[in-house]
Amino acid sequence: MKKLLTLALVAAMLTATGITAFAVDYPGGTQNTEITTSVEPTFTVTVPADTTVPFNALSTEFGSVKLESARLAPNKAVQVTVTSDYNLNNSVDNTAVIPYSLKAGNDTVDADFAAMFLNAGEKVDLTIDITQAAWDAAAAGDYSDTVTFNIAYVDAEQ
Amino acid sequence: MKKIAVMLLAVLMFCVPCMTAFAAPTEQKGATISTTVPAKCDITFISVGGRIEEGGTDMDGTEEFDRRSVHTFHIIPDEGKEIDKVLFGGEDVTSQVKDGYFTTPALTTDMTLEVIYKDAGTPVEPVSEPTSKPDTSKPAATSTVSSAPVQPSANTPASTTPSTPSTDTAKTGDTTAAIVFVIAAVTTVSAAFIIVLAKRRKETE
Repeated sequence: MKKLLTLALVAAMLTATGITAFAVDYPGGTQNTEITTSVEPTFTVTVPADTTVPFNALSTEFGSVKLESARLAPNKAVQVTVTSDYNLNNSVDNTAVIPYSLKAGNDTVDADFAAMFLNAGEKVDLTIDITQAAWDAAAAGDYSDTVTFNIAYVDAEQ
Repeated sequence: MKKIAVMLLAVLMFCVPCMTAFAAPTEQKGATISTTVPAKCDITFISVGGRIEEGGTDMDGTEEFDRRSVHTFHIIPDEGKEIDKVLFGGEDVTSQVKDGYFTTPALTTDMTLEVIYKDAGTPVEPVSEPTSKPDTSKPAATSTVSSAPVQPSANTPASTTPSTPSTDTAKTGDTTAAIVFVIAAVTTVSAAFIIVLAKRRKETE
């Protein structure tokens, strides 16, 4: 019984590791052996940190979305999109909001916005814009909103 | 039975490292944007040459008001002054001042209310009482009442013309020269009388 178990264990170990050596005898000629390996893509993206907008500020630096380091496959890219309702919501009264916009340079960040990064070091600077009219219309209180950055590994042609 | 369980566990342990970890296709990171809208707004009052009131209360220096509240201020120039210009937040709102009252828009941020005064353009009333410091160097002719109006110095900032209404206008009631003239005449007459008396005494002796 012991021997049987030992045999079963050895068989299981060989199967589990998946290493199988096939020795084939050929009578003659050549045989190609393909060596394959795989390098997994790795990348690091930094996104803006939590930011406090000063009262009555029309434009505030939000920070950058940056591809810090990257080892991407050819024709692949890192895509960053942004999800937000673009309203700062009052902590007490959820009907009281301060509308804002995110700008990437001169471009407005909206649902269609997608930043594509191919090389490490590439970045997009973001600013938070609030109009004076929006400030003037705002009731007193604390406001906040969460901006979600969606980071994806995609085909570069996208 | 125990051994079988150990064996199965060992088999499982070998199988586990062979599993491939598939990363999620999309990763999400969040950042919070926050701000605070203050409940109060400050108004700084600048009024050299007059005063500003609200509901009978003097507004002086910097006062605090509720955000989005509306206020009506009464601008009261000092005597001899009148409103030249009213600036609210740097904007000229002189045309919005009615009968000395200015109503603010809803306050949304800290502001400055600055009133600039000029000398009033009304004729000067005759002054019956002499000034406290008579100017004896003036000729007697200046003691007559002047009816010429005081000319306003238009567009002069309040900061360069502080309010001194009494000294600017009360130059018309100077009678000192006339008094000096009367005293001199009385003295002369008295001296002449004494001389005459002295001569008569000599004659009688």
